Order: sequence, then C-alpha cells, then structure tokens
Amino acid sequence: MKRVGVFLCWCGSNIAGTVDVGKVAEQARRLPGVVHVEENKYTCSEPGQAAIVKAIKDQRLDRVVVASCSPRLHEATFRRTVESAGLNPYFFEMANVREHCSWIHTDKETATPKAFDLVRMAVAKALRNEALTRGSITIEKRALVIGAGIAGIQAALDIADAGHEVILLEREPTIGGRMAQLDKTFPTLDCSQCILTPKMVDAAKHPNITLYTWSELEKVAGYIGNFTVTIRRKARGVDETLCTGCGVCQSKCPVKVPSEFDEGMGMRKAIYSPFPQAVPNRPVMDRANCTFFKTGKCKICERFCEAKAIRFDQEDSLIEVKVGAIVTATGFDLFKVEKYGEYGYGLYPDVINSLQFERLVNASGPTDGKIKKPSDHEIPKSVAFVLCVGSRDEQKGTTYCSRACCMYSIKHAIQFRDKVKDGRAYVFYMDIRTPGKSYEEFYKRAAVDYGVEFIRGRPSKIFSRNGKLVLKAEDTLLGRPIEVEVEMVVLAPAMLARNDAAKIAQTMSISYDGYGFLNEAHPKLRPVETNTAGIFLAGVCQGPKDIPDTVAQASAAASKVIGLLSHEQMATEPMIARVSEALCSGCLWCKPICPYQAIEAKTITEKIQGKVVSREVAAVNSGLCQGCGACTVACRDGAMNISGFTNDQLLAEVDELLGASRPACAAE
Amino acid sequence: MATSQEPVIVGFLCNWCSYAGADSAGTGRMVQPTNVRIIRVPCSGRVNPRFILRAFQRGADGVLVSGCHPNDCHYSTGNFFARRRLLLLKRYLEYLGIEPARFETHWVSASEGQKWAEVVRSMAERVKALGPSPKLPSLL
Amino acid sequence: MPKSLALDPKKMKEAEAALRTQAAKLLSEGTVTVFLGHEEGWDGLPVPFFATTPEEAKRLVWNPLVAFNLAKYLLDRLTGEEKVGIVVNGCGSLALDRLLKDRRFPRERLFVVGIPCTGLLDPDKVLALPDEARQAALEGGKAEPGLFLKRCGWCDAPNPVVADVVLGEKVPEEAGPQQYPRVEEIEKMSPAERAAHFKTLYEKCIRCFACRNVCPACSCRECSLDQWEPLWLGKATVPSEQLMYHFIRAFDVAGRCIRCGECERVCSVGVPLMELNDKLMKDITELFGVQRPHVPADVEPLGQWTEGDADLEAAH
Repeated sequence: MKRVGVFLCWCGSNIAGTVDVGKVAEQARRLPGVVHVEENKYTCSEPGQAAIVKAIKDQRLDRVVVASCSPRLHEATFRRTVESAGLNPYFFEMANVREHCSWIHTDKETATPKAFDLVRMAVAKALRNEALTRGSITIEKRALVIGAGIAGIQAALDIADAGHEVILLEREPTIGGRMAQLDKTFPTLDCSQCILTPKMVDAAKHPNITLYTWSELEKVAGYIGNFTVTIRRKARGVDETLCTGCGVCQSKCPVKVPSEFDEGMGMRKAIYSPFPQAVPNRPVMDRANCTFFKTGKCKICERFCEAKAIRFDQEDSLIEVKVGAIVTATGFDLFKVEKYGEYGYGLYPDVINSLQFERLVNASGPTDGKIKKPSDHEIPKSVAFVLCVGSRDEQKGTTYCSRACCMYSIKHAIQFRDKVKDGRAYVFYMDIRTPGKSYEEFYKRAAVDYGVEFIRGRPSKIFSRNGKLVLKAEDTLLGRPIEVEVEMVVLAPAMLARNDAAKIAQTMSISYDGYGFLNEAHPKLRPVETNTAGIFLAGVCQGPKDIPDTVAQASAAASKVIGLLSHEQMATEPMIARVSEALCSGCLWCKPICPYQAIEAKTITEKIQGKVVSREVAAVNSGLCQGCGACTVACRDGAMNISGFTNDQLLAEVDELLGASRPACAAE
Repeated sequence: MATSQEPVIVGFLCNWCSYAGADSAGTGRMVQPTNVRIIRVPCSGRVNPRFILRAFQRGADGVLVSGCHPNDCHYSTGNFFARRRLLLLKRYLEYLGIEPARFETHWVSASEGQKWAEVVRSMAERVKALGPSPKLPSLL
Repeated sequence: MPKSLALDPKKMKEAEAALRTQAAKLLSEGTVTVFLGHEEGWDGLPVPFFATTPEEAKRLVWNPLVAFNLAKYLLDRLTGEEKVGIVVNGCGSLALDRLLKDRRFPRERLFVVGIPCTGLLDPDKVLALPDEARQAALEGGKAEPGLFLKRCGWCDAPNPVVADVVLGEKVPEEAGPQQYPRVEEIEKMSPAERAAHFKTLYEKCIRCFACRNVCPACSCRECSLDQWEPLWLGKATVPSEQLMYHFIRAFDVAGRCIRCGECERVCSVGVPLMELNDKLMKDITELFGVQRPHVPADVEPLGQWTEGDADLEAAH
C-alpha cells in the first residue's frame, strides 16, 4: 500500500485567509492512501521543507503532496526537497490552492470544498506517480549562428572568443546585414561602416568561426546539444579558393541591374560584390540576369579572370554540420510603403524610403554621400520625413511601434541640415519616442541646434504641385489642416518580420507571433531563449529594436550558448513520451503528429508460439521528445504515454473529482 | 460526487500558456466563480477526447479546454492538432445530446489572466443557466 | 438519394470462373501459399474460405452475397513470411487499404485480385425470401433496392483501389458528395431528444464486440477499451458504459472509417451504429473539406491541420 503525506500550506494568510485549511486537513486524513497530514505556515520555508523531509523519514512516506501555490512556482523546489530525503523527486505532486483557489475566491464556504477537491485530485494522481530518472546527453561543442548582420556577427564573435567553434551562416553574398547599408548611427553619429567593418573582418578571420555566405538553412534535425543542420551552399559561380577578389569580372560585366544593397538607388553588375568592403571579398554570379545564362553567349568575366575562378557549371551543394546550440539572427524586412497609395511612392521618384535615404547620404553610396533627388539629381532644399508608415496603423500596416524610426528619422533630418545648410527639414510624427540613453538629448539637438521642424500629424496625402511635393496633414497640436511643400519626401517604413519567418520557425520548430516575429520563451525572464531548448534569438527577428538593443541581445544569446557549451553533458527531463511495445500495433500515426520528429519505427523481435518473429513498433528518441503528448492522443492502442502525465493519472484526476468507483486493482 | 453542490466544470489547461494564465489571474486577485477544477496537462494537444467523454460520463456539468493561442504553442503545433480534434468533438458531443455550452475551448496566454477570469465567469454563467443537468449521468 | 442499383449476376458468374482460374494459378505457381475468398456455406450463405491448393480454389464463389469483409482475416496471418492472396471488390479494397495505411499488413506479402462490383445483396434479407423470390434476386438480377447492402446505396468506389490484377471490366463510378440523411434527421432533434434517442438504442448493446471485430479500422493488437490500467472503459454492464463504448469507438475511427457499415450489419441487437460514424464523416467533410472521408488517405484528417481551420473560440 502506498503511503501518502499531504502538506497543507497556509502561505501566511494568503491561503488560510480564504480556505479553512484545518477543515481540508481533517478531510484529507480520510483519503485512501493518506497516512500523514500536516499544516505549515509556509511550506516552502526552511522549516516547512524540513518538516517534509522529517515526515518522509518518520512516516516512511512514498508519495508527497503539497497543497500551496502554483507548481510553476515551487514544483522544482519541492522536488529537490523530496529528493533530499531520499525519495524519487517525481513521487511529488502539487495542488494549486493559492493561485487557482484562495486568491480568486472570497467566500470560505465555497473555497474550502474546492481546495479539498484540488487536494484529493492531487492525491489521486500522486498514487499513480512513478519513479522517473533524468537521462543525460553529450553536448556537441559547436554553435550555429543564422544570419550575419550585426546581431549574428556579435553573437558569433562572443561565442568564438569564449573558445567554441561557430558556424556563421548568411544567405546574402556578404556578411554585414542591414547595418552595412547604414551611414551614421544615432545618437552618436558614429559612422556605421567604421564600427561594423572591423567586426566583419574579425568574424571572417577568427580561427573559431567558419563563414558560409550565399548559403541557406535547409533543415534542422536533432535537439539541444545535438542538432544536425543541413546547409544549402548556393552556386556562387565563382571558385572561392581561387578568386583573389580583384574585381575585374565586375568591371568587365556588361549587364547592369538595380543594386539590392543600394535599395535600387544605384546599379550593380550580373557578377558582383554588393559593396567594396564586402566580406568575403568574393563576387557572386546572378544567374537570372547573366547574359550567358540567358542567351548562351558572353562569358566575358571568364575571359578576363586571371585566377581562372569563374565557374558557370557550379551547382548548389548541401553540407551537414553538427552543433550543440543555434542562435537565430535572421533580421527583418521593411514594410512596402507602396501600400500607402496616397503617399505616391513609385509614382513620384522623389518619394523614397528611409533605407534609400541612408544609401543617398552614405559617402560610399551611389551618390558619394551627396543628397540628390532621384528625379533630377539636384540637391533638394526641403525634405519631409514621414514617420509611422506601416507602424501603429492597424488598417494598413501593423499595430506595433517599430521603435527605431523616430530616432533614425531625426538623425536623417540632422544629416540633411548638416549637408544642406539652407535646407528645411520637416518631421511628421504621431509621437516622438526616444527611450534610450542620450536619445531625448539628440531629439532636442535636432530641434534646437539644427532647426528641424517637427509637425505632429500623419499626412493624409502627398501630391505633386508645380514640380514640388505637397504634404497635406492635420497639425494635431494646432488643430488645423496644413500643407507643406517640399522637394523630397522620406517615408519611414515599419520593420517587419522576414516574409519567410514562419518557414524559418517551422524548420527549427520554434514558435512565432501573429506578425511573424519569433517568440522568446518568456517576455521578461527568458528574453533570448526560445521554447525549443538550445535555440536562441538575437536581433530584430524577435521584434523591432535598434542597434544597441540588438547587440545587447546578441551578447545575451551568446552568453547562453557559452553557458550551454561549457558543459560536457546535460540532464534531460524524464517527463516525455514512452511506448508500450506490447501494445503498439506499429501504425505510426503518431509519427506525423510529433513536432520534433522524435518518433521512428523500430523493429523488435518476439517469440510467438516458439517462433521468433519481428514486427515494427514506434520508438521515441528521448533526446528529441519534449513531452507535449500530442502522440498519445493519436494512439488508439493506448501504447503511447507521457511520463508524469499518463493516461492513468489524468483519468484518475477526472474520476477522483467526479466520484467514480475505480476497482481496487487499478488504484493500487 | 463532487464535494460542492454547485455545477462542476473540469478544465484541462496547458502548462505553458493557459495554466500560467490562470496563475496570473490568481496573482492579480481576479475573483472568479468556484466552479472550475483545473487539471494540468503539458499541452492542449495532450487532451484526449476520451478524457472529455469520461468527464461528462462521470457527471461533469461542463468541460473546458484551454491552450496557447494558435501559432503560440510551446510545442509549436500541439494546439493546431487539438483545435481540429476538439472542433470535431464539439459537434459530436452536441450530436450526442450534450448542450454546446457545456464544452468550450479557449486560447489563453500566460499573460492573459484577465481573459482567463472572463472565460471562467462567462462559462460558469452559461453552465449554471443550463442547470446541473441530470441528463448527463443518465445519458452516459 | 439511393442511387440506381443494378445487379449483374451474369458478370458475377464470369468473374467467379476467372477468380477460380486466377487463384488456382497463383497457388500452383507458388506465388501465394493461401488464397482468401469465400466458399458456399450452409443454406447458400458464402463464408470465408482459405484455399491452399489449386484443387481447393475450385470451391471459391463470387456471387451477390459475398458481403464479408475478408481483409481482417489477414491479421491472423501476421506472423510468417508466406505470401497471401485475397479477392476484393470496391469496398473490400477500401477495407484492405485501411489495414495497409494503418501498417497492419505488409503490402509485399499480398497478392490482391480485384473484381469491379455491381452491387451486393444483404444475405440476411435474401436468405429470408421465399425460394422463388430468392432465385429471381440472385440469378435473375431482379432485386429490389431494399435488398441491397446499405453501403451499396452510397458507394462511390465500386472498382478496387488496391489490386495486383483486376478481373473483368471497370464499372462506371458515380461521383458526387456523400449523403447522410439519417444524420440530418437526428441533427434536427433537440439535445434532449437526441440524448434519449441514443440512450434507447445504445443501451441495448450487450458488448459482444462483433462491431469491433469486423471493423477494418479497429485493428489494435489489444483494444485499449479492454485494458485495466488505465481503465479507459468501466467493465460494468450498465447503460452508461455501453454508450461510452460506442461513443469512444466511433470517435476513435473518425477519419479512418471506410463507411462499409459492417458494424451495423453484424450487430447482434440491431443498433444502427453508423449513425455515429456517419455524423463524424459528415463533419469531417464540412469542417476540414475532406470530400471522401471514407477513402483511406496517406495522412488521416485528424493527423493534420491547417492555419485556416475554424477557430474553436469563435464557435461559441
């Protein structure tokens, strides 16, 4: 017969104020299997825990039920207590009579019987608790960082500096990401390239970092400590080992197409490096635009390549790497400002977006840093910066604030005023948001020192009049309609999750929110972890943020990875799926339901009427299984179960609550 | 029988979102009726329709399943499987003569204590209006 | 609704001859060591028959009364290496495919002889007819629609979906959505009326388990409803547990039921069991857009999801 001890916590007056704990204790004493009941002021306190240990020893308890707060708060605490008394920690069960009872009810008359219901349900479950043992897995001491923008580079450098190998994956031809496109960074006006490119070079040269550019994530299998990642190395058209990066191929290539890196403000070739400081300094061949691939003739690049590095017949290749941890730093897309038809983007060439402005104002950009209107290459004398294009607009865009646009648009206005001394800069805003160190000061400087004119109102229309662009808006501070005439308009687009974020998330079995941003495990306390152990987040893939926050998050993710990789082994949670091979019919309908690909067919042999026969059954990979239990419902045989949440335990809770007579053999 | 004479609603709540959401409601002292008894499960995808049939068979006046919002599942897809299964089950229960208000499914996140309290209040009210149905135990 | 049913006894006679030849060939060449079919039983009722020699193959019959679902007999042959021959018509092949999709028998150990089906009669009804009428139905092809198996009324798969060889010509298939008139009637009742309806019918159950044993979707090694721990189903023979048995079983085969109606046909106390299965199939079509829920699919309807599935929260 099992011997259950029930410990009822008062939690000061938190529980005892609403629940008659004495009465619950009195009733609990009569429950089958219960041999010890005791009340404590604070069960989680040291004397409270000591009382449990003492009772386990004195009363020879083999099951322990604590009725107190939420198991999400103290289950781990009490498991340790029980374990310290020499009992298997999974013989412990908890009844949540605080959050789910005393705190939400006011009437002792009804709260007390409910508390007793919760206690006896926990006792019924505890009677069926089994001894479980944690397993351990070996950790592959290597990390994968997906995306080599500033977040990915920072995370990779931190992990590599700690002495672990890192594979840095980037789907573009070069690392650097969005930050490489920027000119100066707020609020210090550091040159973005000047602070980024040395880091890019460090990443490329670091002995612990292996760089795969022009490569994509194909598949992720495995689990924390033991991921197997398949990477697609897209055909570059160039033998990277032979290429010297001399750039002759680019200069000779006859094809010109708009440059993605320059956001269409400049041109590039069909064989190209996105920008001169690209890392690695190796061009890629853009087959969609290459004359040879279109017509079968040309090959000029090949003719001029002294290193003989051009490869027209190169094909994509797949490589497999084993890593113990993954940092996802896949960045963001920009809101398509065309969706605001009334702003005339695409219709008026001098309406551009903020990233295009970055390229215009950038000394290494297509205009050598001169702010020129795309229409006539003249320097505009007036520019309007429009905030929240797609942000904070439930109708056309997204509900959230993109966080960085106020600051970079203020920076743009300052840069414009700096370069065009007699120019006028207008910022159309809904609210100026400057939560950051020295941010508000930067905003003040723009208004006071640079004479940037701030207008609170969202333009309703932008149209052309006499060769100028007119912004129609309501100045909501003055409460009257206004029109402002300018020569150029810069729209600040919302930061969006990558359009393939859902696919990335599904490849890695991590969750994402309604916008496509990847979900952290806890918004406050686990901000860089995901719900899939071993996978971490850095940068805007998790939600809009600026460069300082991105770098901070990247280093945080790196420190989590370093912590993980510093161990040789790690313990695994035993509350996972298990198969009764005797019951399993081998239908494997559980397999497609498993989000972790943890179920495989396994051939077993057994003796039937003296003959050895083999058959297939489902087998659970304990490293992959996370214990969700979806498989158990697909299993009609009743062969699949979750330790700690078994069918028997859950049915026992239902039956105990509603009062069924269970046969003695099932209860024992 | 359950100790109280009030209608009893069995709640199957996923550990990661809804159970935590119910905790938040508690932490926020959001007063609720006493009808719901929560059974913690790892995921709404763990809830076997047989558990729900069993609860009704043994006299539950209502059953409530609550999990993470779609796309927010701790296990990434468990609630999508649950959604399908329980959608079919809901119609099935109705067909078997169990009033639709007696079985509900909700998505409550860890931060939605307010929503959880509201779910409990409104469902308890609906189930109370139906009365502690004597039909259920005799039907099943 | 009930489609035009036209029995073709002549075609069946031809198929029978071809079947005997085919089975004898398979057995004599050693392609299979046993062939599953029917033979003439007591009072003209065909009964399952396992032919092991070319000689025995001559006893195989194929006539309008071969209603038995042979596929489940394969489970008796699970162990061993020998290859098994089996004859199936349209619905027989759905049953076989059900077992194959549930991985309950290796396809490579099967040789499937398919025969396109022109309809089958309900043996119970036909054998109860006076001699003359029975003769007319079986040989003259003059059978009232009411004599046919219920499933023939909604059959949209008369041609075998699994076969290594097909004897005879394909019969035209009548496409179109499945109809569930009985379910629609029950849906019109009030909740209380429905509860009473099921209680009255299902409490007759004596849990003989004939429905489960004949069902091609019920092929577990050990039925979970027979297990003691966990006790999925109480052992007491009280109405509550009888009803639970059927309610659980129908939901367990939801999305996998092939709508053969054998459960209902073999029920020893005449419970119209398909009322439950039909409801679930009807809803699977309505909710998840599965047009032919009775045809075994590579992924079962409840083993998948889409983002666009109706939101449960909105459902109340």
